[in-house]
Amino acid sequence: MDELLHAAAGAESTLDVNDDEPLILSDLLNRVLDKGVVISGEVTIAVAGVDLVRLDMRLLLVSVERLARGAIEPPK
Amino acid sequence: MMAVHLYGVLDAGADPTPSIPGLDGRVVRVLSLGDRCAWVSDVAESRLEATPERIRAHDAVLSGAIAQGYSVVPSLFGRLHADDAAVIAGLEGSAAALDAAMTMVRERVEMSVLVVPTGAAPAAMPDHQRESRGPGYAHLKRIRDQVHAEQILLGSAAELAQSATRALAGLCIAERVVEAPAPPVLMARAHLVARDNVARYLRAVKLEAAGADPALRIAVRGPGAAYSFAAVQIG
Repeated sequence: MDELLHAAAGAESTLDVNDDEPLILSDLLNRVLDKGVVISGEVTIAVAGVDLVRLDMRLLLVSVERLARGAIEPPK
Repeated sequence: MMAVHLYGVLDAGADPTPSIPGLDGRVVRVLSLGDRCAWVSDVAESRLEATPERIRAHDAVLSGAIAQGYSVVPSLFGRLHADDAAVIAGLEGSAAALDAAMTMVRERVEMSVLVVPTGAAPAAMPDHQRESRGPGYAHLKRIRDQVHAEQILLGSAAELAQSATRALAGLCIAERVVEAPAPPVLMARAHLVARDNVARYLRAVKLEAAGADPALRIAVRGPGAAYSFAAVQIG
């Protein structure tokens, strides 16, 4: 694996491998977060400090809040 | 109140990298599941806040497993479990799905191609700098040009992503198109790749990147856990 990363480090500027932290975090958040979190009736997802994903998370939090109020209408 | 966070499921005998701490600096523990094991750590709260540091820690633990050569069925981030017994019961209850997931990720890793803007004007953008008219016209034209530039950029990004997909087709077991990636990423593709093909994958992406519109660049994430293809969800 080290060999791989060393090889990647020699890539041109148009190809960045794992060295673009905000991008990597942004992409991770798209993949890693469980979108429907339910643990013993408790639901919490919050993200702070990453402007680029804050909007997505606000939307998620709103939907969770609405879910808690029973305000989400079933899809038609 | 303590709870248990699950990182993922691996083959029995897989040991966490001692130098890579878990969430909040906690030790990553191993729960035995017969021919498999689960990597977990304790969390000192019952409601899990997904901070960037914790997301990075979760991924770092799994990336450490990948770097050690293990096959990993990752857990998505966000669920806490009451105790070890709850984790084991949840995983044992999902044995069939876990079998399928482990087969999917065996000796495979996830690579991601991210197409992002460089800030340069798109190559296809017409140059209207020499035109001179009144300030109102110039203002409207700037807006129009901005919209036009964004359309061109998105079109070029889509072409680049499709071109990358074609170039990588022979190296990928599966591809997942990420819908509405978070800005500034314009296009994102996740690929399930055999470990043995990662170096070839990177070389192929590098070739694609070299021919890209100067307004775009390609970033690669990986090799990492295959969140996009086989994630554990229990609880």
